[in-house]
Amino acid sequence: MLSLIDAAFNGGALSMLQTGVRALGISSLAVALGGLVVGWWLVPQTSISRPLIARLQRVAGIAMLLALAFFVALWPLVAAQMAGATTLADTVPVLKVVLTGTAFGGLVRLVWGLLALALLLLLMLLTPLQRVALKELRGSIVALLGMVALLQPLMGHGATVGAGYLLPMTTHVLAASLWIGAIPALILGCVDQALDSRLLLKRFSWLGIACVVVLGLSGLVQTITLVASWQALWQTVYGQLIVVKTVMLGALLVLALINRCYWTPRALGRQRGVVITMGIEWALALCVIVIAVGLAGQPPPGIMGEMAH
Amino acid sequence: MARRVLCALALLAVSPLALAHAHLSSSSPADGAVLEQAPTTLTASFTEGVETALSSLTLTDDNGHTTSLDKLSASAEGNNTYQVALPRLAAGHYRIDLHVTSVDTHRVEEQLQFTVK
Repeated sequence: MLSLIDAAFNGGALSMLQTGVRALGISSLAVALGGLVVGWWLVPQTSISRPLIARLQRVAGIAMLLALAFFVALWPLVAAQMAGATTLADTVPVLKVVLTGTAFGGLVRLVWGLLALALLLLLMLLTPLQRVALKELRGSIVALLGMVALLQPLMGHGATVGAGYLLPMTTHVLAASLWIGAIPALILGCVDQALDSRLLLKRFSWLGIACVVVLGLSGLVQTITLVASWQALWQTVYGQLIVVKTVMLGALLVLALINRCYWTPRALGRQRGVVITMGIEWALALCVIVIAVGLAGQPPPGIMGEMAH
Repeated sequence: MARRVLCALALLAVSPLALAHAHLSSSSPADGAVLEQAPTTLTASFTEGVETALSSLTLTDDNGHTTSLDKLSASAEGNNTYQVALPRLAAGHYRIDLHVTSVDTHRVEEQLQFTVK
């Protein structure tokens, strides 16, 4: 068993495992954030929609727990990378050092704390006795989850940049989390026969458009500064990953447009089409998250070019 | 509003960017240096901040004898500059291997050599 774990800690396997765990952590966070935003602000607050809102809150709670578990699992994987450890036995002694003596350790503890606090507030909100300050509790939970999303770039390349570069990096992750995380909640909303899914999709389309604009602008700024040349875009792993990510985002956008222009006006009583399209959208979005996390492990070519000179 | 956007873009254009993991940008003694006097301290500047708690340095003399050095500590010079005390060095050729982890969590290896006359 130990040799299997040791094997997983070797070279590429460790990197792949780390990418997978981080992608799952961010995806779970996105589901919690997007689901609560849809449930609390986009679903019409009527007695008919109460069961759906309760379901979305439960899903968000499970997603928060999963996010917390994945971000705890990320700690030994990043610790092994940071210490250059190749076996489990080499990793164990540096776990405490990484957690208490590095910038990553400080950030990951903050992420755990914010997620735990958000979970606690959600549990308070779900308690039958708690009906006071509902708006404030909802706002606080979403703000805490938003902060966890904003911290993600700082746990990688973002740790070394100034505020000018950090702004597009953090807003990119927040917009992606909102957009991608809202999709499962929208699918649940469309499957719910009692709800007018046209109204829900129309309300979401404004948030979706805002997220796409932010994603496009922040992605463009990052690509220009980090890739720097057309040659690097086509000939480096970093550039090629950006090209693949852009193509997949384009496909996501096409699916979103199909939903907005074709399915939304026809959604009432014919939810199957919109659910299938959004299912494909969600699967593609998960692939985009994996690619985005993979990018964090690659040195950007623009800077490598400068260093070579 | 337009002025604010322009200011933000200008800030973006001039602020320093170091995103390719930490690399040794300069050191004292410098790589390849021939010194009249043995250095007592190694000062190393990196392109990014490094996690001193995870640094590991070894000194190898021309007989192949290797000594582990202390961990790097932040230098008063700041600006991603770190230092470590060196043992008393006799005349000869030396190599220092630096294993450091940048604050973006990536580990890199650097090497520098110098000669004491």
